[in-house]
Amino acid sequence: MMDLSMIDRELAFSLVSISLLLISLLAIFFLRLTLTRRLKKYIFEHGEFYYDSGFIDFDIFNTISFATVCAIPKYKKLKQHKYFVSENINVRQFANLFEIVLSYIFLISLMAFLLAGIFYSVTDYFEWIHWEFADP
Amino acid sequence: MGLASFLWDTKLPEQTGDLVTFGGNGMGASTAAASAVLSAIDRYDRALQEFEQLKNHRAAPRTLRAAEIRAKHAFDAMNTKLNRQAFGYLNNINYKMRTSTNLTGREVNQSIPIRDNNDVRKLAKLAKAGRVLGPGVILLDGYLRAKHVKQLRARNNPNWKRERFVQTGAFLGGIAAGVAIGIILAPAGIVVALFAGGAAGLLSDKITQVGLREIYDGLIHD
Repeated sequence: MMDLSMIDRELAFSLVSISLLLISLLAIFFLRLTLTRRLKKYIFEHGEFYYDSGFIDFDIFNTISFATVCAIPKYKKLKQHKYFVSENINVRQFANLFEIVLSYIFLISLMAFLLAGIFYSVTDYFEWIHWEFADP
Repeated sequence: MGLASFLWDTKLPEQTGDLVTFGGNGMGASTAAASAVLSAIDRYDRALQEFEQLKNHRAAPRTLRAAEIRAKHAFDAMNTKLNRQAFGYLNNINYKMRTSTNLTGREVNQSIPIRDNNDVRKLAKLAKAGRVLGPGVILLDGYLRAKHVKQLRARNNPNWKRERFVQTGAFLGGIAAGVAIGIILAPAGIVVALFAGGAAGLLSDKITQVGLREIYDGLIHD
């Protein structure tokens, strides 16, 4: 069994960073099952435009775009949003609170994961400098 | 001898692996755009041909109107997409119909064939290359990782099981982060999305490798 005394600082850092990536992937997975599913149904009933990528990504690309729109409303003004879904549909209004929270979780955890990567790279670089130029 | 020592010092396979991770993850996200533009053009072309056929065969007005609306929708979708991708040739070329006379002397409507356009041909080349290159580079990335693990096992390195665990996770994590950042930053253009997605993929690859190694040593192994 897992022994908590074995967890040192580096292991805790690794666990946090990997779980951040997993959390963002899980958020996208749940959004795919709720928001994208409902939006697709609505769009096909009303004959609006929807970028259908087929079975290449199982609509994960669209879901990432929808999550970004829900989290950052200004993103709707950008051109890229219109590429995935018609301009007539306001994705943020369509989503309920659960989905908006999920999209915030997705973006924040992804950014935190990448920040952890930058943090790790910088500390690793300085550690390398320390060992490379240390006095014998 | 200098070249030999240079090659001995550099870690060429590692650099190649990083480069491949960078390229594949960015490209996967950004080349979908070119193929989507092509599909919009194709949809409009087909809708126009259908309308033209119905008109030339004197279909019922209601059918004609439906086909016209369909063609108009396809035209709008194509137009917005082309404007978004900043292909400015819609200003020069009229995509409407032209009338011509057929062999029986009757006037028929004919759509201007879009596939003959030079820009569209270039776009088609880009999309075809992207369709092969994006997944191809990701496959190459996976192959390099698998080869690394296989070599470790062949040399009886005790770390090969750990490397198998680590490389699998890093491969998937790199793709996930690269594609997500590539899609989020896509409005800045294909090139920016490619570089940002590639950088995010590389960063994610590094941090996932370090983290999974720590987790394997601390929790899974022994």
